Amino acid sequence: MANKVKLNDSNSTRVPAGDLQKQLLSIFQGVGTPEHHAEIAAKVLVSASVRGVDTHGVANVVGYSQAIENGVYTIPQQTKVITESETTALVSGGNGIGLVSAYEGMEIAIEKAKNYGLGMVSIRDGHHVGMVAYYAMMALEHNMIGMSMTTAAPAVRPALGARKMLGTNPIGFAAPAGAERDFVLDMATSTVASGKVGLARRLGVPIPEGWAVTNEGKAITDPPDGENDTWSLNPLGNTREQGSHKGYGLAMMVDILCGVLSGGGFSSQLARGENMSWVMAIDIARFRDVDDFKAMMDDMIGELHATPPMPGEDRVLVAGDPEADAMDDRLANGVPVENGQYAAIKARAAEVSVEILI
Amino acid sequence: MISTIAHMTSKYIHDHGENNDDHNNTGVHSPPESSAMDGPVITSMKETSVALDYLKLNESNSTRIPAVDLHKQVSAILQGVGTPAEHAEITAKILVSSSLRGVETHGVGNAVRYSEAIEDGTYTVPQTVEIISETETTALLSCGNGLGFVAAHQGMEMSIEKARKFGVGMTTIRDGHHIGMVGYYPMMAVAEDMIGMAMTNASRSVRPALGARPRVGTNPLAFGAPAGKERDFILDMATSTIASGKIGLAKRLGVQMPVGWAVTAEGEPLTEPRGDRGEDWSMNPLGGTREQGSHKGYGLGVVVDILCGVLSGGGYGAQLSGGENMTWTMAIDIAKFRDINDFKAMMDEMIRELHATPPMPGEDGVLVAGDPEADFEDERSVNGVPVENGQYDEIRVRAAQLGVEVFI
Repeated sequence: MANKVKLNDSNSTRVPAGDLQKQLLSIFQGVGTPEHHAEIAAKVLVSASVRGVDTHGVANVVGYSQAIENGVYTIPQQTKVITESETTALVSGGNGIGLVSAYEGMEIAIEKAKNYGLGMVSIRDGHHVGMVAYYAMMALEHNMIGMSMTTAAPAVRPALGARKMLGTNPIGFAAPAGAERDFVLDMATSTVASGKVGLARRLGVPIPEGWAVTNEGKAITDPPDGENDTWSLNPLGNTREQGSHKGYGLAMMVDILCGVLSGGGFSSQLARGENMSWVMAIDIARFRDVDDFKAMMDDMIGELHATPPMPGEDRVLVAGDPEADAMDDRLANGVPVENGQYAAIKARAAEVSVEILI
Repeated sequence: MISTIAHMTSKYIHDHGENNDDHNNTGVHSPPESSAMDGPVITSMKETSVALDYLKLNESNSTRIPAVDLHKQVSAILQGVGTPAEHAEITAKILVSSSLRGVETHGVGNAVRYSEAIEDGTYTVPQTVEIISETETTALLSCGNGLGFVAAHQGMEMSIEKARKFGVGMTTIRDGHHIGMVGYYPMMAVAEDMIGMAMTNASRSVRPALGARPRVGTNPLAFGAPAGKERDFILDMATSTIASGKIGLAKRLGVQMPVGWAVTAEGEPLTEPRGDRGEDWSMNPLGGTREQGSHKGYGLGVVVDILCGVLSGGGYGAQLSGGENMTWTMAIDIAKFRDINDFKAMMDEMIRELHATPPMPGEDGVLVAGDPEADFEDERSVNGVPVENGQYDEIRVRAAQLGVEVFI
């Protein structure tokens, strides 16, 4: 099924995460990225692959390094603070690698939260940030709650509307647990992330009704080409009666925090590949004892896990569970890289004349 | 009779974070909209449709009252059961705002049951909103088990004050009760040229994705941002597919619910609206099914529980009894990021572009969150707030019962 790429021994190659990190680092450096930025970009991409979020994983190094080479991304980049207060910063990503500006933006937010309890950074002049929850998760090791959002060029229709006007505008949210695994939510505000439609198209399988519609309002089941303007993804909720105004409203919220607060522009003003972002950190200890907080998180997660499942389902999950499972397996056994992508990464390494490490 | 609500939902599709799904467990009387829906005369599918989202009040089933008189009446009733004037005024202001904005389920009719909850000791009045811990930008408050409105209002005032000084302010509130229309609190920030957010949790009524029992509240969230010439963006949404008030409305109207709103513990769609809470049925999280993203509505519901219940220590949905609600507020000072007029100009552009989106066949136009409520407010501020006749009587009877002046 199109929900997850099922990687196995015949269609993929297991590579240790450490080697992937080195390979990506060398490719980014090979096109002129300064080492510390190449480290960050590689780390975020490898983390996505380790967590099973393959659409945002290591293979993207090919496209990113090409964008650097052809000048779409500006390298070396500077994450520049335009305005700043105790708790806030407006930052320019300098049209560089989006992963780097979001990472450095979250570092600023965490630093401010350490000093003042809260930190919030809105980032303009940015590009693709990859797996958005990565930045929210950066707060966890500081015993903070993290939030992150990012916008994109139009792919999703507003409720009642018949044209794509909003990005899939995803939201990340992370809160630390104690003995249980951390709560990590990472969701597009559309019914489905656009990568799933592309994946179904590549696999040649139909998509379920509810994911996408034509401009005439007809349900689409044959996965369409993302480049054409005759169809849209549905906002989360899909239909008026099932709450499409909610997914639409959340997408606008993301546009406001990322695009309007930063001045970088809202979805329909963005060209493909432009992404504005927003991150926040909340220091839990300013409110209550962190251990008490984590103990209550554990209670809540335990209760949710204990919910009797629907007939036919194994168990109830909590956001972050599938990714943590993938991480446990992949750190121990290596990260499966789909064979086509594996070849593409190696070819790219050769192209930019760096050592092949995978 | 039309067979399902599916065809009836009006173009005014907002629902208003119904965290008052607890009435049946509280010992507090049923929400007043129960009587309100006895009245409307449904003459067509379109009429029914409007009735389901906003009570279709007209000259024969309701009485127009100037907002200022409603405010005096609600305040008098709350003071009549011992609420200090200042707290009664705050609560009246928020209830009247809901009625003005067409959010009848959270409006003035609720004054009756709140005053009963005060009288029977469910709410502690007079209440002290205690600051348990505080920093430059954050505060943990206790509502003191009093009126939820009072603590949520103070929480947002503190968030705004902190944001003015340091950029962002955040409060989380424990020991609380129902805070009414959650969208009210972000609007307080919007009035100060800030972005506002508020959330509130509630006792279990919604199932987790893949789960077969209610474990999360309808846990609404609200977000407001100021526009310039256009109307402000005000999002106010339950994280379930549908606010629980709509199920109550369907029951009172005697119509079926569409598939997708609720399920039995066996996973069968529930189309017969239920008036009770129990382990044998649940509302669906936003998304409805696994394939359509139920983990997203569920995830958002848990986010609300974390910020309201776990960060405050007041408890998450599954720990709350009916009528208990923990709350979270945040204010963001826009000017700390960029010029406020530039921000508003870009908001205007975005809103205009969305309004200009070609609508789906059969739809009149594309709306932006807050549009329907602003339409109501414009009209009702001028012509008075229609109060459904049953509620109108209840409010007057309650006033007389308490020996306070009848203003309406």
